[in-house]
Amino acid sequence: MSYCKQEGKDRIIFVTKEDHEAPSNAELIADDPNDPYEDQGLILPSGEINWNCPCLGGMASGPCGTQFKEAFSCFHHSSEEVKGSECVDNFRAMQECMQKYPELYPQEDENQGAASGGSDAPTEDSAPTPTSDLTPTPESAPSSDNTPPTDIQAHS
Amino acid sequence: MWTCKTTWKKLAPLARTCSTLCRQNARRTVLNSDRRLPMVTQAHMSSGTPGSGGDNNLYYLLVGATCIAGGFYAYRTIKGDQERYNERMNEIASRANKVAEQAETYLPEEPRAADPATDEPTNVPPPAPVEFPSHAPYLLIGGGTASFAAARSIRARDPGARVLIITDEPDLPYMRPPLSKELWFSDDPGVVDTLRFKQWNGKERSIYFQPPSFYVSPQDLEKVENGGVAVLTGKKVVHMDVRGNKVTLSDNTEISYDKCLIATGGVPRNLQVIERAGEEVTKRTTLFRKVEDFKALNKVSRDTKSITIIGGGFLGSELACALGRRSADSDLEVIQMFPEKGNMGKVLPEYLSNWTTAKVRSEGVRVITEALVKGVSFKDGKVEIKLKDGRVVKTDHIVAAVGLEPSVELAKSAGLEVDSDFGGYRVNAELQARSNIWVAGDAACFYDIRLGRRRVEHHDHAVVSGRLAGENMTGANKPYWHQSMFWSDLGPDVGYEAIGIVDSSLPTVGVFAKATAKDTPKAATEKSGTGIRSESETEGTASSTATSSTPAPPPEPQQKDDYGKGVIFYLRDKVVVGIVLWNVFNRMPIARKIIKDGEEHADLNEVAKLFNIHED
Repeated sequence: MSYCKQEGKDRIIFVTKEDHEAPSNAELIADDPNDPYEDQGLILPSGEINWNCPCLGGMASGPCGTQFKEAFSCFHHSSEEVKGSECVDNFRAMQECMQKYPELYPQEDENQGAASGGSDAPTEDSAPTPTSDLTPTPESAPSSDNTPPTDIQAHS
Repeated sequence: MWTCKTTWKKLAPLARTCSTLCRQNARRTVLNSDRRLPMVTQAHMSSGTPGSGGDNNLYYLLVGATCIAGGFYAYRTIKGDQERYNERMNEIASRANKVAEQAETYLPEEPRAADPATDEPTNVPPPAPVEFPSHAPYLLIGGGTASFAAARSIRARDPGARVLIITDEPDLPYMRPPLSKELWFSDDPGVVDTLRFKQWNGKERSIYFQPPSFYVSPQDLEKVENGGVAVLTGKKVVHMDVRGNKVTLSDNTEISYDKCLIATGGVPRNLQVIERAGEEVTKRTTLFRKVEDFKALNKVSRDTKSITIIGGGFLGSELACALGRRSADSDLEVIQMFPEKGNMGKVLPEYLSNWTTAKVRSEGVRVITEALVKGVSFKDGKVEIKLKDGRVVKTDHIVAAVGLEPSVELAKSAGLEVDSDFGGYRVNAELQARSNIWVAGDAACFYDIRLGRRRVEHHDHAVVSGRLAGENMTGANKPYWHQSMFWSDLGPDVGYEAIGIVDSSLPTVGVFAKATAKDTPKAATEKSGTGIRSESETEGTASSTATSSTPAPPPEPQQKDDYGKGVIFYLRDKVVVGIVLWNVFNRMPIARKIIKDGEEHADLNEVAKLFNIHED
């Protein structure tokens, strides 16, 4: 059973697992997904790409930032059957740029540019740039930082 | 004008109480007379008046005495304030002089230093002859975390932006937390040179945000096709001309700007007794902040027998634990002393502070609590620290971790306001000091819409505020909204993340569960296979204490370990303004949400349920 003690102005409550089994009745205010103050995820409410998303790491701000933005924008707006198939030139330009900075964009076995461009863009994109980044691990992606409301709504 | 304002501020509450007293007295007298009057009119008039007249005199006497006492108190406080203000301004002025002297002596040495510098793999581009860009569209003063985050934000939002960072350090932008944590636990004996550390997910990284190839050289900044970020190292901005939109460096170079960020951080404070103690003591004292301090302290820890850390906050406790670990393999004595009753005494409630102190002691540190340093001297080859209660501690080296003094030397020339309560440049909720000038990081005293005016000295805040400043410099006009967090690890068993105002003087409510072996920072990351906390937070934060370096397995949390894991709420007027997640990880978004809501919750146990503290 939980018990409670008071040490001066500090209150201490010990709870068992059973005590916390019942769902919480604490009320949280519903979040406005279009709140302009909040940090947005990868895609802004307007449909544009948020280049400042932490999930992109330093991709949009580095020396190859311009090429990356062009390639990724093209891919994002692509409505072809094979998404991004008309963006090959952009990705090639990006890859060429990245090859000039092997320290920043470590070249792994597969084709970096093609791999990240072709597959699920946001989460993979952070994967090729683990070392040179502010973000220490690749899995940091869009989940927790950018969509806290979903977590909260699940509880309330 | 200043004196009038503070006088009024001090007197206002007193004046208020005086006036209410007067009003109450007047009302009472009137009421009394009212009640008495009907009776009095029947009887003699005289019976009413002398009675109430006598009472009136008494009231006037009381009110008069209160006013005199209040006036006296106000006078004393204002005098004290004036002195405090003068002291502070003098201190800042003297520091500016000292730095100007240093800058002058540095300058003639620079051409000589250029040659050996090019041999080593440094991060500084060949310095001579350096042509500085005469104009930088985005000028960032300071080359730390906030500045780098701003640079990245600017480059992301303004295609082709040209950003110039000016730093007085010789290094490119790097992150500070590993300097007092991960770097000490590295197996690599060459860590002092590589400055690489291993995160808990096994991945290694450098403390530098980006390798040198990321940056453009300053002379190419104006010409390079798609813009970039250039860093001018070893240069200090000494004068800022806000009207002319330009700054002057210590070597009299002028650089003009369109938008400017001041992210000058701060310098470690020192104890006056140490400053006055003479050269023999000061050369055996480390003020820990930069890479060079880490390198120096690392060397000291191998060369001396005893190190004393003065200060019981984050930096002091982390260094104590780091050095304490090192002492396990050597005969190094590590002592930590501070005026509070326990480690993190100003942050954690007393019961947790005591618990933490016990943990620090178990790391091999001799912790001396309630220690006020009265005097320091150098005797018989040892540094002698005399405490107020008479105790004497003899040691070889001192590390002073007693706070940070924000660097506001540019305030005078720029005409920027400095905050008298928190220190630092005073900026609005959008981190703007004036048109085209923003401030971020440790040096910014900003308005937090939820929590009020504050100044935060944590890494994630530097990232968040730097990023926000960068966004606002490119036209976003967003206020400080995403609440930054902070964390600390003191050994493998104690780890916590916190958010908001975490001040131990506030009333707290702690909800705890019994810990199992699974609830430690190390276990949490091993299970999830990722780095925790910072990795799921904003970028630029590094994960904490790696335990893979220790040969012995981490000790099991003892069964008498009452505060294994839980959530602690800090309340201000019944609203949660701060939360500490004690050995509970990956729940920061929930904590952030609760603070953002700013609601009064009747039962905090219900709020604690949201954290699922019994789960992993």
